Amino acid sequence: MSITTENNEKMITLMSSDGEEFVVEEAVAAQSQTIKHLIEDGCSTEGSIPLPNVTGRVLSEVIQYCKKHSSSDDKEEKELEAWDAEFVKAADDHVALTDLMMAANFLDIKGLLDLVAQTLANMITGKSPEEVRRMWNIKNDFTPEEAEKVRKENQWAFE
Amino acid sequence: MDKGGEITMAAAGGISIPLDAVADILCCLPMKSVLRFKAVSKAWCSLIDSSYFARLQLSASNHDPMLVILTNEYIERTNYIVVCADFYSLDDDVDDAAAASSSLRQVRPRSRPFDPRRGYTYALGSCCNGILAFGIYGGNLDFWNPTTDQCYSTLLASDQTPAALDPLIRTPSVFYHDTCSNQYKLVQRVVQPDRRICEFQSYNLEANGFTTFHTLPGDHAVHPPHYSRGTPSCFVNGALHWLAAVSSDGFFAEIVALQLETLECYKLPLVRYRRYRYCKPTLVVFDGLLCATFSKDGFTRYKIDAWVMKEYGGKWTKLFNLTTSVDCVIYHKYVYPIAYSRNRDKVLLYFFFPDDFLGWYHLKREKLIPVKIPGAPRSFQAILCQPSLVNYQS
Repeated sequence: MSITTENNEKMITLMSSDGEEFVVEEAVAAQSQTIKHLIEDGCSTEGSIPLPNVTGRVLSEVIQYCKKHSSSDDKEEKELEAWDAEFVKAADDHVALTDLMMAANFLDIKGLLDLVAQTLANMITGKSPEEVRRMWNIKNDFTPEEAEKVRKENQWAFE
Repeated sequence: MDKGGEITMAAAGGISIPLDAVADILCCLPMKSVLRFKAVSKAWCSLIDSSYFARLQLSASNHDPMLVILTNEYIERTNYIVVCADFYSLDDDVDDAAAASSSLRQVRPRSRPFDPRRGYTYALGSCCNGILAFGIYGGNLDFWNPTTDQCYSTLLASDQTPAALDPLIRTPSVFYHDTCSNQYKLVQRVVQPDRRICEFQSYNLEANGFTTFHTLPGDHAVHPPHYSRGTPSCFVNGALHWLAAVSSDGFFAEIVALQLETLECYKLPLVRYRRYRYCKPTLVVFDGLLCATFSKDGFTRYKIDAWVMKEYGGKWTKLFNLTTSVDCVIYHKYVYPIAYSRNRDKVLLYFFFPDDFLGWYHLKREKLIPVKIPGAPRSFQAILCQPSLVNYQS
């Protein structure tokens, strides 16, 4: 369904995996290449656009980001940077950031993807492999011999 | 490699992360962390080792350069010393001295290209996609990545020696990645001792050696400068550049260039001043631009003028004039700039012949400050290198 506001902005409805509906301006939603293509292919003409990979909680954050980035122009680059920093800070921990990153990946929003990837990278840069495994529930599938070989080949990275 | 959304391992209630998201995160990390995280799991390890990831990371190119310092064994017949340093940490403005020294790492001398039993090793050309090419006097060519310490070694046919190592020729080589053929190429300019012709040869895997692909008449060729040991190749805009003498008294006045794809040969003007008549110019690529450095030693002072060609084929712009009476540089006849510091207020200069020596030149303060690199040998090659995970074979 397409609704038109008083400023003549075309509105579209996005539906999250848990059935929550969000009505946003088309220009805001089109920052996602995935949604943009769906609109272009005529998927938004009837009903809302379903986003089965994104929960309502994450989608509201994504929309917040897209709103900010569609209303700002290049002149406010500094302000936008500060806003971005606050935005990822609010996401709080690596679990929320990982969710956000997966959504940004699925929705294909490059700016958001880069922002979250950099934030997660900053979070893990000084960590040990074991700490990284714990963050994302990764199983250590190396035998002790294999682990030793990797360590030896990249000795300086472990010092 | 499968870049699809493979789930690494999810425990109940926890969060897992797909490998393509891991790749995006790893691209934002410094090289040291990336290599350390090879130990996370087999999936992470093979992702980091994959040529897909190497390309991804190369295109992200957000890594600080490093400076690779190699013993020049031609003079120092000792064990090989290789020091890799984060380039920006060499800057004396870096507050954290501990961080600066921890960024230095001495590469294991048992690294393939640096086995002293294999003979005189010399880096050919500049770094390309994080890989350095080495000629070894015994007849090997090695392609070494200082970040991963991976090395690909090949033995040349018996009559072959890279020109840079031939004491009669010793012209610099060019090592570059040809985007058209998607291949690494090693090209050398060989001026025959009788100087009648100048041959261009490229390394050919099938022939197991260098084959000539172009010849120019000898009038394009300068006599092989005895100091060329220290000058890197001058490859920019897809063309190899060198200095040509236009008068018999050795007054260098022009640059000759050969476009390596089209084989078009053309000339570019060199800065021309009367006072440069007896100067020894050096032509290098600095900050992606052609850069000519003129050195002149007086009785008490030593002068260096450096110029860059900001627009290719256009006018020369002065980069700096350095006048110094510092003892340690008086005898250094040749010099060229390596790179700017992070905030571009300094330039790292490499002085060579008779000794090798590095120094920051402060552009505003007009001051030269020597750089001490712990563990660096007396005579060395210093090469700026982009860290990468690229493997020569793939």
